[in-house]
Amino acid sequence: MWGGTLSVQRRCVMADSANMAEIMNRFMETSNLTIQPKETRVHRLIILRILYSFGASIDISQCILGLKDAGVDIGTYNLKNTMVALKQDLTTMQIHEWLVLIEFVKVTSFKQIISRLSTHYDESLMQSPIWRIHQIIKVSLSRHLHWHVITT
Amino acid sequence: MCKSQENTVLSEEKQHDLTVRVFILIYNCEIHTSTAISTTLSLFDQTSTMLYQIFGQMNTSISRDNIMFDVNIILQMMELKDGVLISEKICNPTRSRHELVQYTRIHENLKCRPSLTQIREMVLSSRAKNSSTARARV
Repeated sequence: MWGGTLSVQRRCVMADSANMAEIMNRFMETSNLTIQPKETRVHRLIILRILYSFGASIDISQCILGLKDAGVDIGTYNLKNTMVALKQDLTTMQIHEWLVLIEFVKVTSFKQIISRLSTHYDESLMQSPIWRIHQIIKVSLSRHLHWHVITT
Repeated sequence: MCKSQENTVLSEEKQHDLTVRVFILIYNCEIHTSTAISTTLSLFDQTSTMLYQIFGQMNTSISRDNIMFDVNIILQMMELKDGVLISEKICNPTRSRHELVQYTRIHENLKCRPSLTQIREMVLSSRAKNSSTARARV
C-alpha cells in the first residue's frame, strides 16, 4: 500500500496515530460517553481520558463535578466499564500514543491560567504544579540564554 | 561544549505548550513518565538537563487538591488543535484501521464491545423483571 515512497518515520507516525485513534475509539465504546452534544463528544472524551490517566493522584468524580460547575459538562458515562477496561489494559495507551494525543491538546490562554492560579494560590504559588513546571522551564531556558551570552 | 547545556531557546508559546504537555505527562500513571517527558523535551529541542530539573523539583510534595485544581483549569481551557482531524479519526475508526495495515500492534487483537455488556445487563434485568412479575401472578 505504501509503495515504498513513505519514510519509515512517517509510517511509524501514521501507525501511532492510527493506534491512538483505535484505542480512543475503544475507550469511547467502553466508557459509553453521552453522545449529545455530538460536536463536543471527542473533546469531552479526551478530557475524560486525560482525567483517567492521572489515576489515584486525583479524585476523578470530584474533578468531573468541578468541571461541570465551571461550565464544562462531560456528560454521563459508564464508570464501571471504563475502569474494568483500563485495568485489563484494553484502553491503556503507550508512550507513542500519548505523545500523539497530547500533540492535539492546546490551551486557549496561558495568561488566563496564570492569573487564575495566582488568584487561587495567592502567596503560595509554588504549590501549584503547573506554575512550578512553568518556572522550571523558564528558569532553565534563561540560564541557558545567560550561559550562551557569556560564551559567545 | 557540554552536550547537556545545548538547550534551544523557545518562544513563549512553545514554553506554554511544553508546560501543559509536561504537566499532563508527569502525573500519567499509565506510562513511564521520565521516558515520555524526555521524548517530549527532545521534540522541543531540549536536553535531559531540563528533565533532571523537572524531576528534582516536582518530587517534593504537592497536594492532591492542588493537582486537581490545576488539572481542572487546564481541562477548562483546553482546545483541540486539528479538532476536525482527531474527531474524524476517532469517530471514523474504519479509516484508522485501514491506515494501520500491517503496523498493527497487540491492541489490534483485543476485542471489547461494551454494548454487549450492556445488552447482557439489559437481558439480565428484563429476566429478573419477568421472574418477579411471574412470582407476583402466582
